[in-house]
Amino acid sequence: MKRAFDRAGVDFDQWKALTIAALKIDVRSAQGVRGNKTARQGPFATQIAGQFLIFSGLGVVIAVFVWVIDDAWLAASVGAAYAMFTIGMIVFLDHNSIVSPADYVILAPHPVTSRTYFAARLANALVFTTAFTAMLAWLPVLSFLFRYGPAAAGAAMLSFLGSSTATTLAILAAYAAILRTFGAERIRRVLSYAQLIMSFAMYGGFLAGTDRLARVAAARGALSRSRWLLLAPPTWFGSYVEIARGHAGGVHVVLALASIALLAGLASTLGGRLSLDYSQRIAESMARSESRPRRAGRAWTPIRLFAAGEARAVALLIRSQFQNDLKFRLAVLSILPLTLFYALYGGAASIHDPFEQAARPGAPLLLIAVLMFPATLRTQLTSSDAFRASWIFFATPTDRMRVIRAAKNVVVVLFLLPYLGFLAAIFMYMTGSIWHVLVHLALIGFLSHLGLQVLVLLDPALPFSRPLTKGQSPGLFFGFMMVGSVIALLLEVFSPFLYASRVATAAAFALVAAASAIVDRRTRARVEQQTAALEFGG
Amino acid sequence: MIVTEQLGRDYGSRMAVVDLNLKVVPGEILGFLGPNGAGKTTTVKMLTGLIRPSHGRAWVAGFDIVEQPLEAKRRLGYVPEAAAVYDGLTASEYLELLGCLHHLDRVVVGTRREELLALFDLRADRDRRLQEFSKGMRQKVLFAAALMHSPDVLFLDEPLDGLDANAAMVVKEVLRQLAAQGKTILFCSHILDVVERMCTRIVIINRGRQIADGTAEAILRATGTSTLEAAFARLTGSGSAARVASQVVSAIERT
Repeated sequence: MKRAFDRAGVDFDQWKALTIAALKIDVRSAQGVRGNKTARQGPFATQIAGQFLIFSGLGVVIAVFVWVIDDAWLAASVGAAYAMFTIGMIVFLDHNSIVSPADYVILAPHPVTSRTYFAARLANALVFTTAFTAMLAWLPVLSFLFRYGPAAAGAAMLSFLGSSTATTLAILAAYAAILRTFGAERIRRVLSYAQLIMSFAMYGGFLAGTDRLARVAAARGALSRSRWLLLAPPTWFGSYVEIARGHAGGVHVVLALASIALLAGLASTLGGRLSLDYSQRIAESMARSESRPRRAGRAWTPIRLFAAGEARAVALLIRSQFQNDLKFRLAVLSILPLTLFYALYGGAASIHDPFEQAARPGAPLLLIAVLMFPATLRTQLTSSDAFRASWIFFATPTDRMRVIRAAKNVVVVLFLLPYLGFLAAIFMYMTGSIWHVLVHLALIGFLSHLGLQVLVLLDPALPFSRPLTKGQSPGLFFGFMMVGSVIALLLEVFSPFLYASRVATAAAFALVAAASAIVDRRTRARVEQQTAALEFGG
Repeated sequence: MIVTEQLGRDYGSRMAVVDLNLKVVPGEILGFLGPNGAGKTTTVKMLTGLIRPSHGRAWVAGFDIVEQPLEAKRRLGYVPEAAAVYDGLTASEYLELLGCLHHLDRVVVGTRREELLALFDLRADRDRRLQEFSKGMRQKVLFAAALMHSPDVLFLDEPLDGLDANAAMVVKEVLRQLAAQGKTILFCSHILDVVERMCTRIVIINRGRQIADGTAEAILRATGTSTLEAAFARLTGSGSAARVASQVVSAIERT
């Protein structure tokens, strides 16, 4: 092995040391910062188990799809698309640090070559990709095993791994290209827009792709060999299964070869762009782009609504997070293209006069998005790279209940309300029914607020007081997403009945208000009890 | 005033601080010394309410830090060891943030903020984000933030870390004047000559236990040494610097 590394110009010992160190750091960052070892190990095992359950749960959808659809190529292609989307989102949000300038500061004084650096960083990203893909794919692969035999199952696993690896490499290559292309002055702004566009493309591609494939499946139960569909990389990786089953035609072999060429091309592109020299350029760019002072007198008017005390303090912090943290800004801004996509793709299923039944039944994606939006932001707001600075909530005479409640209120006022306004404009434009839209969005807004309250009740965390972790999307949040989806579905089905009479509508509002009051009361008691024993985790 | 009685903290089986009895009176600057990992920062964290004691009690400005934490925290100022700040904020915003958390009047926040920024030579940088600041500049911001609410008790964990000579002189002079006004100051530092010159009394801890308490002269007398450095080395059991240095050099030369 050492010889192979030597031939590739990679110092094996350095590569091993760097890879092990990076993995240790990632795992430990996932463990969080706690006082003693036993306290760390318990939650970590729980986190791993939680991740396993979540990703296995995501894989159930594909496993069922494999079982019920007769076209193995279609099933494998949908599985590959699903893996690309899921792994893409993880890499996109958690592993973009492969282009971090921090490495330069640490490694520059040491005799580490560009190739070794690249190999170590790539190994780190691929280990995580493989681990998450395996958790996602094991159930679909079992489905392939029982339906098509071991060869197809093995090929399906390769298809999952290949598609997710290609996604990882493509995202990292895109980051590297962006960082190389744009000048130092514009790099931060360009990165945030690039993230927005990439999330738009990812969600859009996923929605469009799955919509198209679902229609194909519903119509014929088999994948058409249309030229356009064959341009989609998931079908390239899906071809492995047909080859393994011995059902491959020339097109499958060509597509499989294209997938291998894609992987090789991406690795080669990334290898050229990602090096320690490159990291040095990024570090210089970042240093230059950060040295500009903020324009004096620039004010973000909405935070004036929070005039004093804990509310003002939290509003200041959240504003600065929005202005500086790309991940948080992305979470906020990505809701806009997502909404437009849902509006375009969902069509009548998503946007219709809420007082009437939808003309075409469909998943209430838009409703789910509204219900989940503030909860998503609130989850983002509990963690930060600067979590050690949260000592200020412990060493000052701060009412922690007020801080936690202020974080919730700031999210509602600064983000949820403007978003509801944006939605109202879309709904009014598409339905022409102003009063109906206002009543409906008010109810959704209250429900969304209630959801946020429940999340605070279940997890009363101080803002920016937890370390950021890689690939550790909290199980609580995923559970919450499931519940939110069910509520959205129920609301979609029952909204015509809720709006059938003024009494029914008033009763619905009263019910939500009562639930909100009860949750608020419970939260106060729980927060007082929990935060009394809370300690600074830095 | 700072008082502790049998104060202690453990992390599982590891005892970080054991039965610490301290009394720091108004007007006093207590130098709180110890080798790395001795328990200084843990003690300060307990006294500022960042972590809870495992046993014993502590009073800050007359208030029990566990039973009456808000009362105590209203009266204390803290400069943490690691210069941890929310670095997306500007210097001006950071001081406003601390002012809000101390529930200071907005006018008071505005006035004090401007004064402190000017005094610490940060006025030109008031609208720059803290992520662009050097370590010393951040330290100045933290020091200014600790003084915003005019605390009775100050906890300073390595406050001179990263400061340039001029800023360090200003900070030392500010501390002397605050002590003269009757403020109580607990000062953790590894710069022993500064501690010797500035502090009215010195407490040394090692492995979580208090091993010396007195004026610099008293500690020198008790240890039979002529410098605080030598007294510190003797009390904390570290070998002579020359012997350790030669061992290091020979270790790296060994194949």
